[in-house]
Amino acid sequence: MVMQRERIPSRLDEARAAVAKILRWPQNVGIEMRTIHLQTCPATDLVVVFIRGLADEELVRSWAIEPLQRLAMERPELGPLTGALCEAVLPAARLRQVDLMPDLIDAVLGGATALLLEGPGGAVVVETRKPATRPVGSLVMDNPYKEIFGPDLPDNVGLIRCRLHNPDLLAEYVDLPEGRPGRALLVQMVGKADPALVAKVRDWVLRRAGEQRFRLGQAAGQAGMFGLLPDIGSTHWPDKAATLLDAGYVVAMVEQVPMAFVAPVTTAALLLGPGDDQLRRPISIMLRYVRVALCVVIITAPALVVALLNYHHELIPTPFLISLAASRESAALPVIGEIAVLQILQEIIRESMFRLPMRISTGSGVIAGLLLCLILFHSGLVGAVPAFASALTAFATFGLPSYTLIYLVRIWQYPMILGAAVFGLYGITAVTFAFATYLCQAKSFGVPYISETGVQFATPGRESSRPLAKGGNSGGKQGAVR
Amino acid sequence: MRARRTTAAILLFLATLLAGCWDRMEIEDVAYVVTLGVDRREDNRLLVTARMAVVQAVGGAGGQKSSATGGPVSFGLVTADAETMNKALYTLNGSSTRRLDLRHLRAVIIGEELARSGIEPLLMEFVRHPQAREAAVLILARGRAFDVMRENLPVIETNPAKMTEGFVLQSKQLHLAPPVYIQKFVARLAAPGGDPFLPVMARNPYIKPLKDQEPPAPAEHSALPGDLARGGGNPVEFIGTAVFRADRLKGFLTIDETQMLLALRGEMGKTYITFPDPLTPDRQLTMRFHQENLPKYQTSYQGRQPRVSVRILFEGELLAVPGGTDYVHQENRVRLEAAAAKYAEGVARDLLAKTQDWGADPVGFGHKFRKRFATWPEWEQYDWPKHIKDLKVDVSMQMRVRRYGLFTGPDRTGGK
Amino acid sequence: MENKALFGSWSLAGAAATVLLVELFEPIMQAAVRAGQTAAWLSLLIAGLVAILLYWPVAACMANARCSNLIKLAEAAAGKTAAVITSVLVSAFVVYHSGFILRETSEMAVSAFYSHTPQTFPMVALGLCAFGCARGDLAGIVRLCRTFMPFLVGAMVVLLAGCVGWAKFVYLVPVLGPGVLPLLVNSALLSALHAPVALFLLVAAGDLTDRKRLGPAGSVALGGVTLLLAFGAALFLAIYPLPMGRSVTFPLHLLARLVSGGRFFERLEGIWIMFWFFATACHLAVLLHIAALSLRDAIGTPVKVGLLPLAVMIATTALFPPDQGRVLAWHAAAMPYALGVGYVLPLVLALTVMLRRRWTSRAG
Repeated sequence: MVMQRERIPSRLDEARAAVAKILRWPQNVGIEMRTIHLQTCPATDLVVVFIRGLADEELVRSWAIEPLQRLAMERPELGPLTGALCEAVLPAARLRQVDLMPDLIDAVLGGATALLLEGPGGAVVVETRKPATRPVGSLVMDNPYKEIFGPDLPDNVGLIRCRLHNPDLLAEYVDLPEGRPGRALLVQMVGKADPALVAKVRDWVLRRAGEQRFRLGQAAGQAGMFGLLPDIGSTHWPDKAATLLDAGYVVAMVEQVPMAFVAPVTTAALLLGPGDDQLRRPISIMLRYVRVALCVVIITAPALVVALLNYHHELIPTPFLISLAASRESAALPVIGEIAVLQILQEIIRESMFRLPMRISTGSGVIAGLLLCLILFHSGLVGAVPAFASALTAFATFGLPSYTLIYLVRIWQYPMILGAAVFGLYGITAVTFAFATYLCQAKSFGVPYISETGVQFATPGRESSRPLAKGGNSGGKQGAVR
Repeated sequence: MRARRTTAAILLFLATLLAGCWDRMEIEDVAYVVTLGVDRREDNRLLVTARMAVVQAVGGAGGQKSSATGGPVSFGLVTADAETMNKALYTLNGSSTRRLDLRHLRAVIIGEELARSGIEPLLMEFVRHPQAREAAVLILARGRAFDVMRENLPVIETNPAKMTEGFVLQSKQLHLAPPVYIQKFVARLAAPGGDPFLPVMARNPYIKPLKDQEPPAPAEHSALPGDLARGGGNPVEFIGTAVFRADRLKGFLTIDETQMLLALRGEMGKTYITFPDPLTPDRQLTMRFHQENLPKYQTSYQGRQPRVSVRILFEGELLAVPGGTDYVHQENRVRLEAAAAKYAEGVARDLLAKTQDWGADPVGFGHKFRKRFATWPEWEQYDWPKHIKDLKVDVSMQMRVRRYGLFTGPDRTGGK
Repeated sequence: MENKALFGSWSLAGAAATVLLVELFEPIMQAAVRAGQTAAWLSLLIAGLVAILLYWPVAACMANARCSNLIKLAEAAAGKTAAVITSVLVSAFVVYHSGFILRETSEMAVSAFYSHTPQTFPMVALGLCAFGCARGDLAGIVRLCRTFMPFLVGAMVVLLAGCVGWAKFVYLVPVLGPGVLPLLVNSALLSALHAPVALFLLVAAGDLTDRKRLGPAGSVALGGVTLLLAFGAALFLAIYPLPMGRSVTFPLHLLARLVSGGRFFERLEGIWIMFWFFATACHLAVLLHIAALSLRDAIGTPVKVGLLPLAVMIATTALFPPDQGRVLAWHAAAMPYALGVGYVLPLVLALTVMLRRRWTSRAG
């Protein structure tokens, strides 16, 4: 919504209605707009506007409301409160009088509290922004927020609002069916999200989140066959959610579930890392291509080793081939066997690592990997090249930003290896083609997983890259590719 | 139901894949042939000699050691007599515990006798073969390929792939012989308008271990392949050119003629040429010739006789002036340039006289006439090889001396 | 109910380009060499131009007549029977052409790489991949083709660029090949090579968001790939000159054997088999799907039901020729008829529809 640079109406009810309209109160979760009757003579109506999760409610009380209430109680003879009186009473360093509506909305979106009073110059803004001390997730390089979603819905919405400074951000509760405890809400950017998509996500929330046993792993139905692809994404990161919202995605949250569900899932969303919106565009684009390369490495590296060493010897440089053949003279296993041993080892280490306490898991994982690999190598059970490929894939998985993606590529390694073992590069290609077909046919909420061409991303701040922007698939053209 | 059906489809798919595997080969089960020599025997039979990269177990189990750190990588040479190259390789498998494989074939050496009787069928066998490659270098052996391969003992080479190919890498820079790949030969053979040629690898009969040999006597030698005045080292040398008419060998060119052939083709690059010093007639001087630009060709007809005039510009760097003349001096330089150009022209004329006499066109003059024909059938009908002997070639060369090395004066210190 | 998935004109163009790319390395490239001789590249350019000229009016007519695809066009032109006949012709062409493409690709895999493997196995793997892909919806297939288009084009460009060092362009002289008139006639007939793509475009048009873009989308794909094809042909003949070039079975494969990445990576042709597989699988999937689509529109069999008999027929066709030589010969011999199905038939239908509309509007 484009706001006119209009003045704040001097009549209180008009001003109140205008602010409510812009901020979509009361529908919009987290927007607090309260009317307080002050016992002055005659009585004064004070409208307080702030956003939960952004503004510190303690500060709102102590710095904005209480001084005025005290003033009204102690000196009712002063008559109706005015902006000038507020200025005299409230903490001067945090107070600002505003005339224009955009300034007011901007301040509220920034965590301030707006006080509206009858009469000209009756709009005052008090700075009440919450200091940023929140649950800290893993430290991601260059991500200034380091915050993750918690169990409280309005707080979570606040986390998103911190990052999306926009009155069009609408968060609304969905009434869950009888018997399901807790609440759920939908977040969208009005004007960017496709209403049809929002309706579908609302259905999803009613259907799935309304169930008694709400399982994260199978939060939604399956987008593709075999349950490899979920049809809704999830993230712990408010900034990732904000970036996607800005690109037209819809976010759903369920109370007591400390994450946001993002619909639809697209490869672009899967490849979006936390902190990406903080980077300059060329760098964030490069990072996403690096992630694509990581996926390719994870999926193909062990399979390529098998294909090259078993079928396509011509692709290996001659001197290297000769030295490789020399090193394999005393090999105990065929290449495919070596790869199998290493992959099993990799899965064992990975799973054991997850079960260890956080403090020792990283170190012990590295040591276990190194030690076991060295032993295997020196015992002659595996060769250097398969060991390298396996270690590379193991390490590359840590570079991927979402678990959905990690599990997907990990599971896809195995058909690839099988394909390579039976048919070399031809087999790899056949499996890749099957995978690509699967991915291209898969849809999430009617939106194709691979939206638009190739690997295109929902780049923050770029209009045309929104795969689900309004118009693209509205009006009965679900899943339209531009 | 749907899931069951798709699972069945996947299983079916995987089952077809599982039925594959016929071509799976562990690298340690393969013997890589890196060089192949082919000779002609009586009754159109071939003697095929293969050099395999023989790999022996190196170091501790699983560990790798490169050949450079002392791993014993040795070379196996095997030979078989058969009707075709494929048959010979097939037969050779009978004596090998590993499958012979041509995917790492680097060089093919062809015996002189086979070359004189035509090598087209053999080459097409390579083009047809799924493993052999057209990017392998093609070499002519003066004498038998078998002997050349048997006696080729590079002094400092440990990589079997480079034992023959290394020569070609050298020749790409120094042009003692023209580098030729199977594809190039086949293309020159196929396209009417020029004839193919090959580098020559020859066993020099004078070479013995240096402790048994006196220094070579110049009178007994020439610049033809297998005849160089040298001693010790590898008995095999890689110099000169073998000229073909179609797929049959016609004769050999010396190093200088090879260089001029390349110059006429615009492929000479940098070469070393030694010629008589114009100002000190009993001495010779050495220059590095550099062909910077492509030669300029003009074609014409005089009556029905095709004529070509070609202009070539060399740039030169003076390397040795035993005569002691100061060629930096303007007047001397001009005379030096004229002498260099005249020498090169002389070599080129000798070369052309030789090849035209053989009825061969290794320069590819015919291709210069192609654009005088509008359609392919006309050109095919013209039958270029018929006109090679009538062809009149007018060669004019120019030299510009650009550099004098790190020392500009005559080759004298000035001390008395 | 889920709405039908649509795709845009750029997707269609990308997919069409992928479908076309197959021609680059299938033996039908030989046809260009035979038609154009030293001017094979010119011949391909002319063929591309002719294809665009024949295709454009049909596409334009389809947009104007509000017929969603070729079958609907046939129905508008001459009723249900014409629609059925058209769909049968399209399916017959698809069966024949796809069968041979399937066979040729697996023959190549076997004769170039997997010499100990029975020929049916690469064929079954490729066929199953294509069949599985064809079972999806058209938008998904188009998306797949379009997603891989840049990679395929990139691979082809790398291949061709890697061979430039081997080329001697003097082999392309004389420039007029067989002479002006034979060149023009042969090249016009050569445009039959692009018939599968024209059919794909005309049948797939039903799911296009904006049918007015059908003409430009197809022309962009045809034009772009024609340039690549022409360059490929020029390069091929500059490396394997006439008369030898006429008898090379898999021209681009022979070129791929020459590409090297410096002195160490000397043989990279194995890499391109991946792209060939991809392009061929896309080609087959697309053709199979549009054949099933045309049957659906004509006689109402659901796509997934129509696919199975088509696939069986394609497999039968693929297995029918007894040897590689006859695969190539038969495919080449039948190719000119594609001109009829791919261009003449749609053109006749489009003209009929236009004339009928004019007649009815005048009568009205």
